[in-house]
Amino acid sequence: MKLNQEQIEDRLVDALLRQQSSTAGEQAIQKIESALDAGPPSAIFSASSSWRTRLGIIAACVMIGLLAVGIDSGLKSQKASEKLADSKAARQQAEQAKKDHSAELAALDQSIRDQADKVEEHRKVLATIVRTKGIIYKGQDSFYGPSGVDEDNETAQNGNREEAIIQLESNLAYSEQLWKSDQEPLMTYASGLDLSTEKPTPVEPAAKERNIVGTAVAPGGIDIAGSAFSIRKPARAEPTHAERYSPLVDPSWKRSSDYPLSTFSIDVDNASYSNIRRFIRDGQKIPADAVRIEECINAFDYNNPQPAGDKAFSVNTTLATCPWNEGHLLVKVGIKAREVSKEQRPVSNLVFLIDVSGSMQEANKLPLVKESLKLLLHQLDERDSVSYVVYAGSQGVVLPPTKLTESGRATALEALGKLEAGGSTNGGAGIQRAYQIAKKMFIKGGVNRVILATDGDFNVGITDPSQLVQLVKERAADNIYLSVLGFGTGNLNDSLMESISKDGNGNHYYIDSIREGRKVLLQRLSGTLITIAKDVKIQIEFNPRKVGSYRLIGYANRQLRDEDFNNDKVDAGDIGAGHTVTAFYEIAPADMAQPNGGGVDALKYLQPAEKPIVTHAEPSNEWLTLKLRHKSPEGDISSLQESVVEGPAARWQDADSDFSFASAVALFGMKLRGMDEAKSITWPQIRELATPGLKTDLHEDRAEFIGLLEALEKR
Amino acid sequence: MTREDFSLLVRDNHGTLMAYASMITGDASKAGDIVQDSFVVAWHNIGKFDVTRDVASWLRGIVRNKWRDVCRRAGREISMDEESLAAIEETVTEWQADRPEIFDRLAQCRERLPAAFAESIRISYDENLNSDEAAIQLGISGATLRKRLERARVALRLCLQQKTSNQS
Repeated sequence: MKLNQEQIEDRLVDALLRQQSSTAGEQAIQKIESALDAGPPSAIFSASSSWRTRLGIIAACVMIGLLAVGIDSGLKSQKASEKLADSKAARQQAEQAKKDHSAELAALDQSIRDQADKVEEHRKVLATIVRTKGIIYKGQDSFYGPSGVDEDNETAQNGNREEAIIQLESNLAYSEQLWKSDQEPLMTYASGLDLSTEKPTPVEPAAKERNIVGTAVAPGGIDIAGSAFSIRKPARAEPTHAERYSPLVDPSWKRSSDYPLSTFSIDVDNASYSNIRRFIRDGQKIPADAVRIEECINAFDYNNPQPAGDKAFSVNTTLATCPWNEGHLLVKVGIKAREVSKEQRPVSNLVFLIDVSGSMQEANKLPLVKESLKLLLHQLDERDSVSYVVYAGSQGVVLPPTKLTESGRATALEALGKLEAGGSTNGGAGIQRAYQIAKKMFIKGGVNRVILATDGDFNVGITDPSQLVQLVKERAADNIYLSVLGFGTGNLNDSLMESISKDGNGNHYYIDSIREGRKVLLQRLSGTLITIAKDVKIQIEFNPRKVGSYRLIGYANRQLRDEDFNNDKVDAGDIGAGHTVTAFYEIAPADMAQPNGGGVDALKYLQPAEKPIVTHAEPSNEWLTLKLRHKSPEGDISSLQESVVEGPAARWQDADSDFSFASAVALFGMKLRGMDEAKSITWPQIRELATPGLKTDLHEDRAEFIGLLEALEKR
Repeated sequence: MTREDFSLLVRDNHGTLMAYASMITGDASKAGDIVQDSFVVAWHNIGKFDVTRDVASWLRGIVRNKWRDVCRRAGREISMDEESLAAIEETVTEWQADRPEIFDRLAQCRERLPAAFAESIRISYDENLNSDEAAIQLGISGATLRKRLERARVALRLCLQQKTSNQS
């Protein structure tokens, strides 16, 4: 293949971009270090070209044999019979060596094939996740965007226009910016979302020169440390490559006259917030797609009133001015599920499915799993039963269903203490086994739940995420639910955990510390274990007389089509006892300039039809109507609750402290996601907004949030 | 040279050598294997290194030989002719693409890209999505994405050349 100069330069830029984006650098360097320490160069490629290698080794063995024979004959031994015997032995030895080498090669080939299979398996898992998301996004687009327009066709038709725009972008914007300054100091590049406020680090000219040629001489080699090679400052720790996050697209501004309805599924999980906290504490950059704003907001307790009577929920709304956008309003929707006291807690049948593979050895994994589950065991009583299924090299039931009487609890604690991480992950039928036990021990009207504790490697016998989600969904239909507790770092399959929670009637938590373990398995145990309602959906109808435009903050992957709201076949999130769900809508009132909702150009040939605004006979004071649908845990038919938001908006400074704190958390998430509105807002400003919320901070979670903001300020 | 010194050398040259190996092999995974083997060979032959030469250029030579070896052993033609290999060598040297600072310069150039181009690059390279997935995420067609990427790389080429000539 012959390349021209332009192709070479394009290849170079492409290769540099790929390398710059690669997060596998440190891992690769570690591999090289191991290879260096292991001795002579490894035969990575030789192993794959097996027949040539085998021939080579066989030839070498034969040579050894022949050499042995040659040497033997060269000794001029008088004992011909001995010589014959020796040469025979040498030949046998050579044959044996040949066999050994062949066996080794076969094993090596097998190992390579196994590795290749694993890689392929992971690739498929990722591809499926991305495909699934793609379909979801397309569905949303068809709802929000102009229906029936084939984007590809449209682009093809407008190809020249698009090209012209690109050309213009290329020529104008780039030429304007490109040559502005070449005198800026060199700056360490950071891909993804960089919250760093670090000043660019100038590279001293001398240091640059030092990197040019290795010239310092020392006896026997080069003295690197002396002068020749500059050493790059280690970059800030990167999120580990193996961690997987689904891409998120934030809901955009919508005109209420065009889109009067907004529909979404609730999300009670807060794994995203725990994960972000870990990133901040470890000084790592936070991938924008790891930030689910609603999960940050829902990580905190708010003072929503208990539902009245036997209702499953209370719905509370607050309308106030928007702290970050003058003239705009913010509607806070708070939903609280009915509490279930310890005494009223139904009997539990819990099956712990515990990952004990080698990767779980770290202190923040299996040891933390044990500590966290101990907390849970102490909350249960003699009515409840627990079982443990482990999966790794050895998969099996390590604790059969055991009632938590005094002796049963001792047995359960002892079995937990004995768990050790080791071996490769080989889930086999781990999850089916866990479900089988849960089904066998099923308690009617009780809590029947499989609790999976893992560092993210979902090799539980099913590798296709859609199949896993389907299994979780099917079992949930039989009232056996799944909780996923994520531990540790580096292997976190956030994407799949979220999928299980979103589409499969499960819930998931990320436990980064014993404090979080206490929160999930102690303070919020009822919420974790007891499902109060399933398929909870919210639909808001905006009054176009009052609301010009609106946008939902967060819930990027929880959007539903309007028609899905009344369709009981469409799944949505579940809610546990005492859980609260909070959502914010930012509103641009109808009498002010409207924000751009997504860059759709004015139509050339069609004028938008005038939409008659028919509300009430008298001008309404209502801003919106909120509708909530949910099913009981055993039911298939949903019921509806409605409430209305009306009246003047309060100043946000006068709203309750929950409002300002929750809006600060929303802003925190928006800034981490890199949303334009939040870019100019500083961390201290967010801290200021959050501070009044410290008045009610029973478990010091809010104080911890302020601490995270301070840590971000210092970056 | 001590083993520790050599580790520093590995750390310093790994990124640029990976980019070079990816260029000539056209495959990041093969590039990774070749670079690893090349460092091992370099360590075992460090005594033979001509200290008047540039170490990065020496390492590239090892990578080239390794790749030729792989192609030969795999029974394939070498994927690139000697003339192209020589032209690549010249370009890498001219752009100073064998020094870690090239990534800093690239980052600066990326910051100056128009937003649509920068986002296309980010999604395609940083997020490592294939063109179909990236196009879905950006809400544009595959053809538009490819066009944007192509133009973005042209812009980056110009910027890198300009920055390199300014430096020297």
